[in-house]
Amino acid sequence: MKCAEAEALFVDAGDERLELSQEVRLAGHLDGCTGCRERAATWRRLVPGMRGFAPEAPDAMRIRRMQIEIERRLAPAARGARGPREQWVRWSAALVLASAAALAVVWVRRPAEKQNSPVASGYGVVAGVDGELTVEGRRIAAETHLSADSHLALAAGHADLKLGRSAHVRLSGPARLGLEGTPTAIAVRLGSGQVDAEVAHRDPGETFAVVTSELRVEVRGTHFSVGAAPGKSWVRVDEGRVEVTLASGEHRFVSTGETLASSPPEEAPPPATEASEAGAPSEAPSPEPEEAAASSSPRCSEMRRLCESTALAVRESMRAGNQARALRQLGAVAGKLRAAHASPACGRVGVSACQDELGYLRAEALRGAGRRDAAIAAYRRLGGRAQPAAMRQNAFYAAAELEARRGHSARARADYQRALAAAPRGALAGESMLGAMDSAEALGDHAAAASLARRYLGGFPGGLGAVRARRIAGAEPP
Amino acid sequence: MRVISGPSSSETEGSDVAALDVTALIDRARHNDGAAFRALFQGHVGGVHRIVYRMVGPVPDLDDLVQTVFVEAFRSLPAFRGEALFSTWLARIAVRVTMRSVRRRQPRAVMLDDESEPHDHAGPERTVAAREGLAVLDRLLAELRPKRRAAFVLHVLEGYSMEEVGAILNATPAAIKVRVHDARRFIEKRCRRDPRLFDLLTAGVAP
Repeated sequence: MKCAEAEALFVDAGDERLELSQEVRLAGHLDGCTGCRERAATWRRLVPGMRGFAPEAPDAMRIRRMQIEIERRLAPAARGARGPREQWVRWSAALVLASAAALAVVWVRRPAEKQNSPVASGYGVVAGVDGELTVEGRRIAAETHLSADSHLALAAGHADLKLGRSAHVRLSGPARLGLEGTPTAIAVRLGSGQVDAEVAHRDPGETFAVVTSELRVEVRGTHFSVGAAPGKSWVRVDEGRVEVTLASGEHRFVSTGETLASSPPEEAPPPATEASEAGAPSEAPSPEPEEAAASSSPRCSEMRRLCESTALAVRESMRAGNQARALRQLGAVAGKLRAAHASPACGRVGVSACQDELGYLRAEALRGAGRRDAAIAAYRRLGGRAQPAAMRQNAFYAAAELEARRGHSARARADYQRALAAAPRGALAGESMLGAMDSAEALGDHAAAASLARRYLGGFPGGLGAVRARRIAGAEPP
Repeated sequence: MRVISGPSSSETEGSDVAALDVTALIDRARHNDGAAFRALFQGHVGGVHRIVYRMVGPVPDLDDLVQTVFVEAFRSLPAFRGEALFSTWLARIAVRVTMRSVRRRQPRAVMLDDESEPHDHAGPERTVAAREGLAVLDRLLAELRPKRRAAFVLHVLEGYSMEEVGAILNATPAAIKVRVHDARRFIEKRCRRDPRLFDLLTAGVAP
């Protein structure tokens, strides 16, 4: 056996995949070749060492987001797989569409008739206004088209804008906003106030960015908020991940539940509240002074470190399959963190995201330990009003899945509906609708199931649940 | 039977790939059964994510690449003849998707002693040693040429045989041997030059 042949067997030898004859020949070679023996010893340690450094598997929320995105991308293909009857229906529809198109051409060619469809401007449209919204000083109402290079001002209340293909932006006043770029490369320049953005996944070549004087937030598909006030800006991510470019040119990534402020950490805003998510006027972007001071206190920092180190240890235990130890680790710090949470010396700011994470880990550990009742209760607690919308949706969805698996259709249905209400345009909205639909069907409430099915088909006509939804809606024979 | 490990514990309940009849799931998925798609995805996302990560490192669009692998796989399901394991077939698609992405990327000079913070796909829950080790391995792999990297990742890190790697990369086992050999020599040279590197990569492995 030559050295190269021997070397090619190192990994298979370590994985115990060699045939006996190969093993014997390799051992014989190694006995007589010092170089290969040393190299084999090196790789006997390197291979398991390197394999041990595997990336963290995506967490449940990332997996669900990916799943939704895959379903979205597969939808046209799913729609393409139809039976002969549907093909015929499709051809009929095509004829109708062709006729409609011909009529549209005639309509467009009518003299002095200005078209006013949302597509006309391409850049965006005002979806709704609750307050005084002006463009270049001129008051505008819902359905007004927006073009690039417009400057918007909102005195109070809020305005909902639909920009480009599928970006929804809520502007909370008082605020000033400039629209720049093109329908596929949108840049929203926030002078002051707050925007909450929900951006569907961008196609290749598409970009969406919110720019303030201190930072630029660029996304591919996510749900986030940006606030701007003189001299400071912040971004909070409710779902997904954004890339932030600071004025210094430094790049940072901000993920779900995290906040990044251009000024020192104590300037970070409080976590999302039910009021702001429900559409009520948002609070000013900067926090109360005493709250900001509290967040930077030594005790608060200590609690944050304790919380983060606990999360590390708990993850390790869960990875090792030791749910009991994970729960003990969580129990050991629960009292301290609760006290810190309630203490005015620390407040909620700063440790909240970590505490939410611990809450989620606890629910997952309980589920892993087979304590389903406790897990469901823990998930429902995470659905509390103070949590970010994406987390509430995720938590209620997880509780609903457990209830559904146990055959508790009524409870499952209620949790699916809570998940849907938590974030009607969230990543799990379609799944929650399907879950609620299935639960309603299981309970014999066919009217509610059909209604949910129609709602699903309205929002996700090409979704992978569309076939089931069409059947339940009565549009397709069982 | 070789099965790519499933996702994190939070997702594996009731979806252990080893226990599932993958063939039946594939049949159902071919008929646009959403539940079957979901089960196949959840059962294999962990393994695909790991391969993609090891092929391209902690890039911001890692999840996009993983999604693309599954989209391509599900679109190509009618072409899956069951001659290889579904996991091996997925690995082949994962490698193709990532190689294509690598070709489109701007080359980036990477230094082993680069102390800059990597894109953090590792999550905050990892221990410091694990993060450091993973970052070192990322930088080391980034220095390999794409084809060598693919062969090394699949054979040495993922444990596929040379023949399987050849089938995945559409190359002969002899070519794979050469690529793995070259990658190994490169890493040995690195370890000789910087003994700290060897210690970091073998931390936790008994001598």
